[in-house]
Amino acid sequence: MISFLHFLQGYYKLFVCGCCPERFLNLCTNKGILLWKLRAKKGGYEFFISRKAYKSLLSLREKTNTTIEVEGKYGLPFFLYRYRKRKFFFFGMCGCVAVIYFLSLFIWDIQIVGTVHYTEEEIEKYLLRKEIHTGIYKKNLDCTGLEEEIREDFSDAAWVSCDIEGTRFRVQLKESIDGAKSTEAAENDATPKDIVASKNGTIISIITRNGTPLVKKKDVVKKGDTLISGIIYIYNEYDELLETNVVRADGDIKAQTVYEYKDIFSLSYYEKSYTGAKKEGVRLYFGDYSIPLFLAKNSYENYDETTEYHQLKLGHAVYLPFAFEIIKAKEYLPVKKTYQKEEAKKKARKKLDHYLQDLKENNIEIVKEDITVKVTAEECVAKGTITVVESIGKIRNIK
Amino acid sequence: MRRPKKKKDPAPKEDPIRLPKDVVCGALIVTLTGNQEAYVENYRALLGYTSELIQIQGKKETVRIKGTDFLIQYFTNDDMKITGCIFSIEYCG
Repeated sequence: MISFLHFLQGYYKLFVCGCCPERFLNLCTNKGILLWKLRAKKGGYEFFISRKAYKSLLSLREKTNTTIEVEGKYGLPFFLYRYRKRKFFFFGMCGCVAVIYFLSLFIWDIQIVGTVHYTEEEIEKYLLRKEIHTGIYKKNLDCTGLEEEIREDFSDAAWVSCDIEGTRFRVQLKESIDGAKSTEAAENDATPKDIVASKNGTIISIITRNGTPLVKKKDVVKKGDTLISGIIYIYNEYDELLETNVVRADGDIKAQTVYEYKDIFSLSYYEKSYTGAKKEGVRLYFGDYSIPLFLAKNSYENYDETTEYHQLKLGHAVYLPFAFEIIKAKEYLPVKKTYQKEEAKKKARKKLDHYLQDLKENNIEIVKEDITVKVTAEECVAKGTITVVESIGKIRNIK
Repeated sequence: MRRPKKKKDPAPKEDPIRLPKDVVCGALIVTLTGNQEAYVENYRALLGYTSELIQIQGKKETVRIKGTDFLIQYFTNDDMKITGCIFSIEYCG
């Protein structure tokens, strides 16, 4: 900080020599002049002194009969003086500062953080509908209002925060876990409902919390069958119907269901053999406009293309409406290959394991798998059934 | 019978209000940080300075700081900061 102040004020590097330079230094300090980086050198002293203090040294020089040599002039005043004739340079500098200031009044980057179920594109489209896009004037953005609107329009958003950092507009979302909020809303919904089977299966367990169970363990049910009815019949001791209550049925029903599995893939496939030939190009972006720069049209028949998009920014968060994209194309030759029998079986097993893993992640318990893998001359067929235990209850309005 | 008077604690003759020594006697203060840095206050003048020796005049005594690669980071009327490799500090007369 001090060195920055020195730079703003301007300072000299001096060399003092003569019969008694120490006296000169002591007189300087007695006058309240600050000397820094004082170094003994060739029968004299070298030091730095501020531009203002330099003027008062002249009387001391006469008094002590010393000689002062100016070894350097540093700082902003000297810099401006040195380049005083370069008017366009200064205009350019001022213009640059003005342009950066002007650009910093707008939003040039929109960042969406924390989305799980919603995609970033969904939120971006939503913002676009609200006329929030890159290039919007910062003062036209009402973060608090927008937060409320997002909370209203996205029912699964448990917490929303909108803020502006530099020229970046950031939307942070926290979605409720497993749609907890929507479940909560559904629980509060007291309209009468039945629970029906979403699939064919055999009931393994049924726990009724509300309503009348219509099935029991080991019953075979079909898709659409009512499992727990939302109508409760109340009988008296003579088995006469006293009252009928209509409620929202609630309970957990697990059933054994069967999944059909079929996976066919060809034994022949193509593998990429990179030739080593590659081409690179750059594309410049200004807002929505782009200019290709060194972008040679590639003549490759088969190639992989990768692009790296870099938005220019000043410091941490002052994004500018300029960006560049590095485009790389790598040529390859497709080489036709064929899976051997064992390889094909391994691949089929791998795909099956992946499928089973997906089921497990959805809280589906796998009981039995009966899959056969057949390798013919052209293709590999994995076919069979998977027996699982899963929750099959689905809410439906009472008919 | 008179009770014997309690003897008062002998008050320090030179410093009845316990002022710091540097204020009362004008003593020179040298604060060292390892052997790399010295911070000197309450001096009168710089008598001599080379890259191996610095002589500072206090109110009563002269201090000699010996070492190598001395550089006075800043020098004002009140204090100075010396950096370098300090070997010894001597007090003369």
